[in-house]
Amino acid sequence: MQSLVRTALALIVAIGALYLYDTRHRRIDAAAFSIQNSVTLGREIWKGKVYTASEVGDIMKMVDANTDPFPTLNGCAPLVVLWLGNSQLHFINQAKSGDHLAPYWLRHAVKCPDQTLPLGVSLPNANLQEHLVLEHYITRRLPVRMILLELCFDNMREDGLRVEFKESLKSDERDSLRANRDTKSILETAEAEWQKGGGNDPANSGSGLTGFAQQSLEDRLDTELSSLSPLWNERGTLRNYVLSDLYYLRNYLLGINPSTVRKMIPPRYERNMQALTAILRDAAQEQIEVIGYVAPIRQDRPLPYDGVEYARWKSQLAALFVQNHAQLLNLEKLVPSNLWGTYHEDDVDFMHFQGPGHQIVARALLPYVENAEGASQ
Amino acid sequence: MLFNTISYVVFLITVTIAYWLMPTNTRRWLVLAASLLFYALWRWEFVFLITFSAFVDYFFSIKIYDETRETRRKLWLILSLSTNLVLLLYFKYSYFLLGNVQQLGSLFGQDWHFNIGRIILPLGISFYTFLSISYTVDVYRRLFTPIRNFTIYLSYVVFWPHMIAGPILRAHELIPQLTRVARFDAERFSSGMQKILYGLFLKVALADQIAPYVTEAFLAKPAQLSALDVWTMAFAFGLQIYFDFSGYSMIAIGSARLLGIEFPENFNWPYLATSPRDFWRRWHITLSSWIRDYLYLPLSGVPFRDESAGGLEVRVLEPDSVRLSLALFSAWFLMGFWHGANWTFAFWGIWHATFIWLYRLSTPRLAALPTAVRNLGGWSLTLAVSMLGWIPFRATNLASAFALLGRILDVHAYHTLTFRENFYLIIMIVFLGMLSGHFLRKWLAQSSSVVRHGAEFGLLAFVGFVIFIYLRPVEQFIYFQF
Repeated sequence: MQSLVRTALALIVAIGALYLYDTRHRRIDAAAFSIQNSVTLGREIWKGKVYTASEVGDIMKMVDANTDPFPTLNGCAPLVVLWLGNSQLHFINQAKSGDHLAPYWLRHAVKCPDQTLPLGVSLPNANLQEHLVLEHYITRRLPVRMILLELCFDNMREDGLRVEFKESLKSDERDSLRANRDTKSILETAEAEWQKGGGNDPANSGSGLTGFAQQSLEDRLDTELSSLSPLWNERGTLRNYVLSDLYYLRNYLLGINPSTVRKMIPPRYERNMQALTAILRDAAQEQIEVIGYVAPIRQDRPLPYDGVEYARWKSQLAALFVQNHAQLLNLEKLVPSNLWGTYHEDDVDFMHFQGPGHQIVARALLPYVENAEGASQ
Repeated sequence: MLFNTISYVVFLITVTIAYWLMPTNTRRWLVLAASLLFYALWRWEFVFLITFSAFVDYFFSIKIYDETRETRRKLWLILSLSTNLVLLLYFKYSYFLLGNVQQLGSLFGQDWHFNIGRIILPLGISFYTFLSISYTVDVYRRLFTPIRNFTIYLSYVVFWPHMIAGPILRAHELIPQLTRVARFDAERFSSGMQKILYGLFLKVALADQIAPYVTEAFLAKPAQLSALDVWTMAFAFGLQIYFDFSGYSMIAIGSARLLGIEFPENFNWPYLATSPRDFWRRWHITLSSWIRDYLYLPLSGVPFRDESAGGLEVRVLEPDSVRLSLALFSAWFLMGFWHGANWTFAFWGIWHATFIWLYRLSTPRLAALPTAVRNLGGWSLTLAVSMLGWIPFRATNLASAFALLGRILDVHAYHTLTFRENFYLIIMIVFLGMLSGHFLRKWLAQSSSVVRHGAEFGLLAFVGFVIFIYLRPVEQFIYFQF
């Protein structure tokens, strides 16, 4: 009997610990996200329409909402500029009131803001395979005339399509991706992974019960428990807390910080370079001008990249853009050191700059967009 | 029904409470009804198939037992075995066999196409077929008197904790427990709960977390991988399948124990084995014991045993002979095929047979080595062999398996890493954690009861914490596909 009591008590202690864990993290979250608004969530809005989004589902909705043709006004013809990037494009370090994302500054600086639509499309840690799929998806729906393509060395380590694409890509869109040689292999690899339940995303939960009559019972019980117990309802969030705690524990134990040099992963690099080639080729076929730019990175600290690998990447980019008659800009030193974020010595953000950095990037790209505006008049 | 779901937890609590509150003479019916419901929660229509299959074996086993003429007894046995094997062949091996016939035809310039529609593999068919075969063979060998009550026999076949993925039990191990009146024992009940908790932890916190890394790794093209990647993949899948299947077995054993029914253990720290033979004493013990008694020993001409414990414990004392070697390779080849309709599984069986055979040949020569050297060397080699064996087991086809194993042999392929650093880190931590767990367990067994109970309490609280967060059916159990 003692053993039974001990087991039951241990489970009660576990539930108590879960409550404490949840409460502690919730307090931290509340403080961290108290300043959230549309811009800090990665959205910019012009006359009621979103034109900068940073989640797959939001991006698809934004594209659908902007498909209405807009008229030629004041001698300005419609110009859709697709701006593809990673979180640098949708995140403002230490955001302040009045700050905006780069596509906002671009839209406010162009000659015809009602006719020139800079469509900011970004995903956290977006890789070029995802950019290829988004480029393919968007250019088949909107009359895109120019692509601004952020190229970030960090993201060459990323791979495949995140699981959110699974929900967002309908069957006809998948068919369209399958019809293209480059996007076909990316989609099929991703589908194989999604089918196997790859990825730790909560959106994947329940895949093990596919084909089981048990599925509906499980869903019903889960819904009932979620309505009865807030703690059960919070399990997805708790999993994220555990993951982030493990991440910090790993960094602490191994002395990993944002400045730690990360080696490139060769097969991922190859797949991303192939995707970039496919973007350039597809854009050329669709007569879309591409302006690629090496993403700004802070220069006051040693870069978290292997110098040789980084230099080789830039030279490969240069060769690839020349080969495909596209323009490549090097903006790595564009944003001054004081506009990046540093909380303390070890917590250096190499990726996200402060509000004025977004204005600087928009200004650097403005002449190319104005050129296109001129050409379209 | 999947074990790693909240619906199973609710099912188990409901059945357990009802079981202990019910009059003892009705418990058997509850077990049978609950087991059929458990299976129907996968696909109800297949309940008829398993009931039919059970009835055939029930009927033939009585015929075998009652018949006095040896030829007739053999005939009934053959009929029973054929029914089981034909069902297994149809549901599990049709596509494979026809695919191979098609390929064979193409070698002779024939373009054969077979359209047999969609065949759904009944969940647990490999397991309950082996269970049924062992029953009829044991009756034929006069080791067991057949049950003359179909509901008891059906309960034996469909008893939910073991029905889908084992442990593979012998009739004399389970049927007497199903027919006697169990008395509630709090200690046993508690140990059943603990088994379930530890089993769920292995599944949801370890196996399911490693799974996405393994999936991604095996989707990569072999030519792009380094030898270190392949080693890591082997260890990763080796750990995943171990946690997945031993977790399943623990939940099965624990679930049965809640009803006062004991199952034999199915795993005993297999990655600490010091020889290939030792590995098969520790890995999927009830399967290797089944192979031993119904294939290997009969083929070797050595007296068989009748228990689902011990695995490949038996040592054939006769000198090595062609017959013994053939028996070993045939048994392990079939055991590999039992896992799945793919040549990769057959290769996996042969892989293990080869190392058991080599071990058998080298044992006399190694006897002179100091024990420590023999154990450490034996452990390292066995670990490498068993882990690399998972490459063909997990690969989609033989070409991919050979390409991956080929990377291991390439001395120039040892200087790069292809995956994210976390993959290597996680696999290393989990492997070292598993080894530490073994030694910690040994140390605790020798500690004072205060230390032992304190550690057990802390561990259970931690396991409960993790299960609450991670219990969800993201992945089926790997052995469900077999």
